[in-house]
Amino acid sequence: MTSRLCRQSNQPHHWSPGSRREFLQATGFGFGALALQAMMHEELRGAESPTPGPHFAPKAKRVIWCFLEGGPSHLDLVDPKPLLNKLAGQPLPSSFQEPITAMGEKGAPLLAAPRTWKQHGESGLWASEWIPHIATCMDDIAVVRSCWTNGINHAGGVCQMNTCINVAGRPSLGSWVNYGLGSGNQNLPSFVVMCDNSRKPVNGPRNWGSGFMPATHQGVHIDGSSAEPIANLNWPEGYSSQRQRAKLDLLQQFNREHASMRPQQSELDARIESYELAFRMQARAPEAVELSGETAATRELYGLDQKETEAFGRNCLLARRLAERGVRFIQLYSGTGSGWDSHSAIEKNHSRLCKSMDKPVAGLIKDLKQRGLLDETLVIWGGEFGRTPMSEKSNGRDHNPTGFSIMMAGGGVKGGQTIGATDELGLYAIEDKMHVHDIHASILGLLGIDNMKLTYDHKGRPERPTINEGRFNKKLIGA
Amino acid sequence: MRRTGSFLAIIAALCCTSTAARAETDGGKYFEQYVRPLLAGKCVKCHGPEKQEGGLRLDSLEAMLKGGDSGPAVVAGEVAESLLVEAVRYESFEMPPSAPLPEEDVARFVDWIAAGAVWPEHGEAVREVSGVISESDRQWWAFQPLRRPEVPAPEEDSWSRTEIDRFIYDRLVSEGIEPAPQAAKEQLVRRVYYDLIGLPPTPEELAHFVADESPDAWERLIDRLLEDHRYGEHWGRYWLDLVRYAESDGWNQDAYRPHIWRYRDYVVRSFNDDKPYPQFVREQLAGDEIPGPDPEALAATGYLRLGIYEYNQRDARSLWDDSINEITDVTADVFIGMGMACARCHDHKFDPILQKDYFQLRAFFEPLIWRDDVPMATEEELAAYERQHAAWLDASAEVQQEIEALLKPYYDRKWVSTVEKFPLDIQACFHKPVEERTSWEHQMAYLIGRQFEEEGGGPLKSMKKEDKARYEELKKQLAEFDHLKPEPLPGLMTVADFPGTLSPTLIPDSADQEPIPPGFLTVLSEVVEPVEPQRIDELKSSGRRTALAEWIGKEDNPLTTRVIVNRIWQQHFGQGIVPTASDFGHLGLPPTHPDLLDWLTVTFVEEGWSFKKLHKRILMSAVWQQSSLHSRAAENQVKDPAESLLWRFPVRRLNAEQIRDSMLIASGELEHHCGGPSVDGAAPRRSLYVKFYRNNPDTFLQLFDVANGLKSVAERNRTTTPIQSLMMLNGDWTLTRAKKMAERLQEHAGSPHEMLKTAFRLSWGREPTPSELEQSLAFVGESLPEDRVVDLCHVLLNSNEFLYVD
Repeated sequence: MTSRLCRQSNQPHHWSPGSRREFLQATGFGFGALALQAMMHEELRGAESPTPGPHFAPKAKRVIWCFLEGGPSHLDLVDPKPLLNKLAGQPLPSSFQEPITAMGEKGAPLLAAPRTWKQHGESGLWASEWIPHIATCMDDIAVVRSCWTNGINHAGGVCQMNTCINVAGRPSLGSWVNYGLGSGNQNLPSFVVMCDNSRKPVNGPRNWGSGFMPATHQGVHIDGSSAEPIANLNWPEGYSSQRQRAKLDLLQQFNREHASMRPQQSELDARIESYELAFRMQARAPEAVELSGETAATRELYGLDQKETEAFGRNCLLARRLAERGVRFIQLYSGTGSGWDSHSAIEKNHSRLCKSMDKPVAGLIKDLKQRGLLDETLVIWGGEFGRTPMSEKSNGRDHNPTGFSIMMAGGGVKGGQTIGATDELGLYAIEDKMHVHDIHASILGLLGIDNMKLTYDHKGRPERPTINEGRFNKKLIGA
Repeated sequence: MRRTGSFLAIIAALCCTSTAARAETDGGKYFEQYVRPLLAGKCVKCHGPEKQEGGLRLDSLEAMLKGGDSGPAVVAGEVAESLLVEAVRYESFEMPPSAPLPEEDVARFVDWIAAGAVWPEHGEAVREVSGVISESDRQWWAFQPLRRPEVPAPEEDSWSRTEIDRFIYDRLVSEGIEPAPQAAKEQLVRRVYYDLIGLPPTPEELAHFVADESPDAWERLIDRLLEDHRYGEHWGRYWLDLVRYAESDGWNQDAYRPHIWRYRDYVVRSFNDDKPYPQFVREQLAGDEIPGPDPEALAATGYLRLGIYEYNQRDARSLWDDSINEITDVTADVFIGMGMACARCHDHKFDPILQKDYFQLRAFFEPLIWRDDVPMATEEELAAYERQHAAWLDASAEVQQEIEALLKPYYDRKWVSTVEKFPLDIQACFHKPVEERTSWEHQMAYLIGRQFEEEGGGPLKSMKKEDKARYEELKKQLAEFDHLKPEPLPGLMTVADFPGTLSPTLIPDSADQEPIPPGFLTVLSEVVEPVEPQRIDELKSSGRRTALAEWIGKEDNPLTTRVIVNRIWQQHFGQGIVPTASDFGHLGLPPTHPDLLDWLTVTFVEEGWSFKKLHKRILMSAVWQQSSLHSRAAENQVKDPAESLLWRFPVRRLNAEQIRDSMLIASGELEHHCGGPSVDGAAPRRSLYVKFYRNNPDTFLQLFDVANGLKSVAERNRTTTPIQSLMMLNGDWTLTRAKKMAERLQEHAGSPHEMLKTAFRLSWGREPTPSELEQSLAFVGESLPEDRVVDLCHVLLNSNEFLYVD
């Protein structure tokens, strides 16, 4: 912690000896800044802290974010537009402002969304036939139809949906949450990312990077289908537990002697502890991602028994297991590597990807609910942007950053409601608009964090997770 | 009590759903967060100290309540009666006149007024919204002229050796703290090697110095290391962090930049040549304006090309705008040591930096165009190349013509399809003849041109089969003339100014849209004389960036000079005299030893801006040569918990490059040659030369907190995580180094004792103690089985003694 708070109150840059909590912050996956500052607040005997926390009682304790990378079509899933089908084949009416599109196809005709729409549940929310399983959860889901973002391309869009801005360099939302709240499990990473195929998402690991914050807060990639779910988790080939322990014992012996010669250098102790933590992780992490104990019914619920749904279903089930073990922020990429990007042949693309994602997402919501975890777990569904009502290459849709939908369930969110609206063709968000700033502010709000109060000092600026913008849309909690 | 109060306020705010209620109960935070920035950004320019349109000022509550010609602007608690609300709703007056505010901003005014228009007496150090610089603004320490303070002469000072020490000692004495004794020779030599060249001494070098009893041994060692070319590799890296050096585009494609390493080599050479700082600044900011052309200075302008670039962005306007803002931000961070990015949208809330100052700085970069067609060559080399190139063209004219004819339809088609993807106003820029374009129009046209080459697979992606065959044939024919073809000149990423009409710099959304000329920080206007840009006719360049560089490099610039001296000090001690090295403003920290900083700065400038002289001055001091151990450390930490008074030398973890390089040295693998194109992380070269992709940096370096190449980094984070430990314990790369080190030990035949001792010397740079030797022997076993030796090496490479330097 080299925060201004520490420096101004003349706290050492490294860890004050004997403070167990700060020690954990230094070595493990982090004790949150809010808890830490609450503690420092006490220690400073009432000195005014810029971020006394926790800011308010959280609705959600953790987040599971299903990220449909590439941009799913809101027009074909949760935001029906009868006018679109009526005007299909015609150019965008002149009453609509012509947007700058990523592919720049000028004057492309509107493309019909040949979906079957039904209202679902008691709330009567609309969902198309492409998401039949999610449709059965609509009473638990709030559909935000009025999202917008700045990035018109994938790199900017994915970057923004993760870091609140389209230009690279800021910490990911998961890093902010980790920084603010810390880990619920000292033996597992606090911020975890999983992908549903072997490709990398656009922008690579910097999507879960910690930007200007210490790497302690960055996300950790987990591959649940691999024999080594976390990089370097397994002992080198041919090593036994005994051999590894013997090495570690000698190392720690040397390190303790080294540290004892250098009293009052608690960073050295932190490194000693981090090796012990690593060793414990080797023991505990595999258990967290081991699915053999899950019942056949559970596996079926997530679609693990079907080829099409197995990959994403596995990640959803892993997410539940990690959530149960205190992992704070879990991101699941669907269609990793811009899979949902359907510039042409959207029918083929979306019917395949919807199938791969629909049952697992519904399974996750239902499973969390039956285990009593949904109330405290926020599930988010959405991409970096939506798609245009105009066609591209005759049978696809271009990127639409100016109006798209996300869904949220659990974590205090009032289900069975739609929030906001796009125009009659679904091109621009017009009512109760939620920029990415507002989406992030709302996620933080549900976690009990005031987006304007959580600050991290960097180069003379008190940086905030939502860049000094963004409002918690309280409609999400039924206000 | 105060805490309880704010807690209740938060609860109250939560119970109410309207933000108005929140605005009422939060003691003015709502105002500070939402309303004040709106007033500052949208209103005060015309309704403030400079202008009072309609007799109205909106820079204090009093003025608002009093109102202007039409009556009170605000009636607290009465939204319907507040003219301000009417005006921003465009119901009567239409304010701001340029365009209505977004709905949410209007709502903020409404909420704020409904809640009683709370305008708090300003708490912290938030500056009043004013648009001008006050006398008290000018009093900030960092803006005071440089002066040469008297060197203190503490009584009974047997510790100090140099002037630096007397400043340090004087302060320590006043706090009742004794400094630490001098470190052992073995520690000092390891410390100074890492400090100057970033690498450990060899066992022989170490032994040699320890045995050297001559009084000038230390000085000679410093001199020798300063002349070692590895010095520039190490110290240049600090500079590369500051300028956010990386070797790829970022964004989606993250394309590799094959020529940018020439900038890296330029930086390394500049440090090795001990280039005076003003020259270093000028070459990077305006090397293209140095007539010649000077190839070295052209490579230096790579600085202006280090930003990220999106290869398929059709919103060319925003792409360029973001790029120029970014270079403005970085320049302020690196050279001026003040974060200015806040002032892009409003006057800085804490520092006396006006929004106008931001755009004055940006104006220096407004004429910039990117050049990818200027080789790193002297005029003679260029002329020779062109002569030979012409001869080759001449000889092969027939084939060339046929190729051209064959490709033309493909090129034409690609041009059409590239251009038409952009918005119509951007297309128009492209269609204008160059001589009729403004600089902005040319910048737009350039961005279109880049996409012609790089986007969608290039112009020849979908060539007809027969054309392709013919093309291959023609290329073969053309190859027959290869003996006439000149060797390509080294490529560069460089810049120039647009030679024609320059577009004005405007403050976005400002009411009057007055062009902003290039200029310097207003707060410094009375301390440093401004430099007027002089157009350089022979290069058709505006001379703006040269003027900026001159201003930064002026001897009497109190800010830029202190900033660079502090950066050098920072790297020697792990913390600057100003601990916030890129923020000398109000949110940063003040200098711990202000007189020392000034004395060093004045001396640095007088001695010709030489980094090497500054290094030596610091390294000769007793404070730098202190032990990292102190018998009363616990007691001193109570008095000085941040250890900023320097009563002992800080123990420091090696940085990412040092760890990786040291492992390669211990294993005997490091290949040492200076400069050249970057290599894969698997290659055994210094980490400085490992290819740096922004989206996928080398895992090892990344986990040890290497700078990310996205933002200017003045001080790296230093983390300790289990993920690091897993990589060090289980990762292939580290284990392979241990194996190589073990192989190397086998070559040093000898007794088991001797072999193990060598292992310690190679990794820790010292002999093991008898107890360490005994433990190691017990661990490995008398027969020295190979796998156990590997394990011992692995342990040594993982140990804190290896990873930290005293």
